[in-house]
Amino acid sequence: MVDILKPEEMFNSIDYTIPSDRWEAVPTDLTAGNFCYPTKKKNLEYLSLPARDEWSPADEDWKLPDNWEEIIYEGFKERLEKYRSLKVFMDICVRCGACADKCHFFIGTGDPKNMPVLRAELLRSVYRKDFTTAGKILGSIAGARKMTPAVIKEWFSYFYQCSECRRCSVYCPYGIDTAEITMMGRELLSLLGLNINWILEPVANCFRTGNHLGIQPHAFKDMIDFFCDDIEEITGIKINPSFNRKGAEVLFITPSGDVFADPGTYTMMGYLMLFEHIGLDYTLSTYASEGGNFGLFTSSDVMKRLNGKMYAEAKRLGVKWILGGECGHMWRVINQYMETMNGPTDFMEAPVSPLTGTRFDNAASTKMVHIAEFTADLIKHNKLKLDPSRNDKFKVTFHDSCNPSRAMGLLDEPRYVLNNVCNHFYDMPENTIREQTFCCGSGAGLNTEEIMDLRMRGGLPRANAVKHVHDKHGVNMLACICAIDRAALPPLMDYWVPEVDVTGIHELVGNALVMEGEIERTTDLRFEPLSEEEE
Amino acid sequence: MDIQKYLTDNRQKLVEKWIASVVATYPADSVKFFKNTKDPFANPVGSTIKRSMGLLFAQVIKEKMDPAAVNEAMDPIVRLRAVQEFTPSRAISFIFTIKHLFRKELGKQLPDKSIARFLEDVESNVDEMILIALDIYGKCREKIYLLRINQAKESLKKLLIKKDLICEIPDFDPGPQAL
Repeated sequence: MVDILKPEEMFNSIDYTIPSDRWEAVPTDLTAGNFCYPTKKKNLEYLSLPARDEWSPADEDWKLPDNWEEIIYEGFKERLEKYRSLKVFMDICVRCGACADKCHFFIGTGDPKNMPVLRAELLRSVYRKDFTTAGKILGSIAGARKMTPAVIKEWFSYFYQCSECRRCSVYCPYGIDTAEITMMGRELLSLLGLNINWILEPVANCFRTGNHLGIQPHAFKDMIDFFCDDIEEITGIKINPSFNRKGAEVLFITPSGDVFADPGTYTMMGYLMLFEHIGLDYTLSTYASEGGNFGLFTSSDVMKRLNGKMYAEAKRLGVKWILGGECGHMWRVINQYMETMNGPTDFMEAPVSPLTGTRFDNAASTKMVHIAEFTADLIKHNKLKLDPSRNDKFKVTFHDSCNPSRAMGLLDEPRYVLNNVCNHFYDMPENTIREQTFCCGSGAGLNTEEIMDLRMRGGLPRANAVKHVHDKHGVNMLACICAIDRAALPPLMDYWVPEVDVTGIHELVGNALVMEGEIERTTDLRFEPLSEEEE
Repeated sequence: MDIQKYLTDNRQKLVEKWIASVVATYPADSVKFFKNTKDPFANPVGSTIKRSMGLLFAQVIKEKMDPAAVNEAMDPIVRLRAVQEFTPSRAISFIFTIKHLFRKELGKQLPDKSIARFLEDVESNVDEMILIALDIYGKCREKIYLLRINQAKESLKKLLIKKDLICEIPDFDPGPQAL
């Protein structure tokens, strides 16, 4: 029986004073609904990662291995030696608080441990105790604390309440990247076999079959063929993309969400139509059939292993360069880590658009171009015939996906494309877009249904800004360039602003694209009438 | 006592006190942020609370409330608290506090019939508001469960569509050589 307070007792229980307990004393809430389900043992074993028997974060005793303290200490030490950035981030924070109110999870929950400064402090306090002289001698006076099983629980809770979006790092005067701190925290937890299934299952599937869901090559091809049938029905044009074709100029890699999850599938149709229209010499791969890389949310080693498939396939097929689809974290991996992890890429050339001659010098090292840049360049050079009125029923706004905006500065290209393929575009308020964009609330592997409440409150700042442009301008379509966004934003909108739907920008490109020899369009790529009047 | 004059003169103070009682249900370290950050896009929780409470106050002091207006004002704040870490009772308990605020402020003047009448109106309005809030809360939770089910169902449906085409990691130990 739950103790139910009478209203008066409840009001009298409100405490307006600052708590006397320090933050370390506040216990972590790991009741059901507040944590992601842990990974299945088979997925860890398949990846040769430290595995453990089935467990639940709700268990009182997590049955950590006997030498867990040593594992964490050694793991921490190794990473401090390996990553200069981690050592610097542990030492230089002056607790100015500039980041404190910038995290969408803090803004939505009010939980102080979701302030980036405090999230980092979860790790930093242990660092002080184990690796600094002041911490060893002065203990809690120097902000140090001893590692205990309760700290492990706290790490598990709060490092899986961070979507590694890096909004906080934009405001940090020292440039401390809390996402990297979360990544280190997750790596350390992983050493004890503490991972979540929504990340590790896709990782295992990706490693074995090539993509998150475990779609086998023939099924991958079947899905693409299915889209081509739909395109033919809508446009009258039959497309026959090639798979695993040696000697193609370009290898196209996109997140597998575009192949199996609506509304990403319509974006996939948009890519296929665009490539057909411009006569691009490209091929798809059933081996490197995943742009996403959940290794980024696991550990650098796992990220490297999954990412290796892209260059391996590019080399095997002998392509000149790689074109990448609309994805978020995929681009953090590509833009910031890929060349270092799996380069050098001397078997490819700096990407040059065969249509415009534009050389993408920004991708000269990775040899991989984001499709938003590629399409923006085509439009800029008048290579596409577009009829934006086909998107007239949509009043569109753009959600800057965290990684393309903050990890690679892709801010204007998607807007340029949108402004050319639709007539009604409205940006959200300045402090919620571009490099200050708010996360969807479900990034970094948190897009799982068991924590739907957390996702809703984490996504509130984004939804709140969408609601503003919906109320002010009648916006009914939220465009984005990320597959996780296309999966996470529909439920977020459904809860906060149900009148707004979600799309990738190349779905709108596909709608507007006037293809040579096409029949008169009566529907959009979703088989819905082009204008509201016809509905 | 002229109750209308009292309400006009003290409106801001009363609303602020009511808001403070809501904000106090959040962790102490966040109270300052929720209260003081004015930008509605930087602080959607605080601005939602402020907006809803102002509109609800305008209704609760009426002799006869407009249920549609109460519903519209109540939805954003309850929708918010329905996904924050509150028990159902705690999520909507803030509504009661206005009764106590008025009792505390006006209790000594109860012999004044107009005051007694006003307090009765407020209390019956609060009762009605609670029922409206309960309905909204229920719908919000139902929506959350639907979203959860839909996500699970969608992935299941896709799997069924691709029956025999999906290849999950099998339940066996592949051994180190398989990697």
